[in-house]
Amino acid sequence: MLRLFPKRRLLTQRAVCSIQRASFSTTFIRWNESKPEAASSQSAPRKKRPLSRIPIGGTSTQQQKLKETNLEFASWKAALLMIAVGGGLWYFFTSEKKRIQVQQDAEANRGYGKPLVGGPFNLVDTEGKPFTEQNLKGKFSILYFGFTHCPDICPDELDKLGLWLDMLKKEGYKLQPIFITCDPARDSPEVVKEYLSDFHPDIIGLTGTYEQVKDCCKQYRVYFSTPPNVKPGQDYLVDHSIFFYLMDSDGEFIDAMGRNYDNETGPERIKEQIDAFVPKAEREKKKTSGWSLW
Amino acid sequence: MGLFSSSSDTATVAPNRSKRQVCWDARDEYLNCLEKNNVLNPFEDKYSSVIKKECAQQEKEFESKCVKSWVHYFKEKYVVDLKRERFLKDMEAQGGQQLPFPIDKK
Repeated sequence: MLRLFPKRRLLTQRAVCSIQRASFSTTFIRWNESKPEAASSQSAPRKKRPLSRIPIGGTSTQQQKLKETNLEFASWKAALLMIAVGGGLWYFFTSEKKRIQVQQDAEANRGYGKPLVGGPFNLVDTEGKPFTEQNLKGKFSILYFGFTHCPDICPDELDKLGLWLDMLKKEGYKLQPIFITCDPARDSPEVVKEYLSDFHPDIIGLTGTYEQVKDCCKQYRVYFSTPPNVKPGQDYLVDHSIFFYLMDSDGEFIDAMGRNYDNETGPERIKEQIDAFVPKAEREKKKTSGWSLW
Repeated sequence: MGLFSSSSDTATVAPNRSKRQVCWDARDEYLNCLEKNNVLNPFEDKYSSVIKKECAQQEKEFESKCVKSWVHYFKEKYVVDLKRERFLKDMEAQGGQQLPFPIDKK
């Protein structure tokens, strides 16, 4: 239809111009003559719509109307949906963020990759039975390195530990307390047993050969030094690091607690760590599922 | 406590709680005496005459109730503790403030 007008104009020009093109023009005239009736009936409504929008063979305007109503219906529902989904997501993310923050703190203390503190060791308890890192699994443990001839710090710390253990036990927290001697030359299982009888009955005493104890102390980054060339029966002191090592139920290191923890902050710290603990298997699962990205 | 003093050089079994307490009591007596007489370091020769004069009895008691290594350790500790105490007092006098330990990393 759009073509019609310029061609009609062309025709009028050409009719005046030459006879040679008369044959050409006649066709245009015929075109022009035949079309006006059809054009007059159809061109008016068609003009409003761009050509491309009318599907070939498909004329039903009803269908288009249906689509329009669909669109209107979706707009208010979409708003509702957006509020519902958006609100839900917002709640999910904020709560998840908090939870993950606590876990990340624990993870940071645990260290990435291979644990820096702790590892396999091979010692014997006061009954002479072997005790290894496997015995740390399944329960939280607190380790203390010392020696029976310790003048003042070890007994103080062990007394403190006894108090903590009672306090934690009252609140239902289970903790396996372990005393490891740094002085295997003098501290036989019997000596350790006798020594620990003065302290909390739950404390497990461990000893071993010098090499075994040295290896264990190395795993836990415990410094200890025995004077060189000690003769049997000689009186000497062992210099050693004084920390409590808190181990989780997977037998992995969580925290080292120095002498600055008193009877209030000590048990509090232990409880905090036990409460925030997520078993290793679950942590691994989290990592592979990708949730840990948050 | 004769039994313990006689084995003070060849101690293979550690002192138990009561023996420790006996030793600590004797130690406190001795260290109190040092403090009273302004002995800053029992290892220094310049104080040996004062110790002999004022704290001989306490020293004898202390050395008989504690093993040698402990006696040495407690004397060393006394020096360190005294230094620390004086340092803290000095700092406080200069208007210093003690930071919480461990220092909060956040």
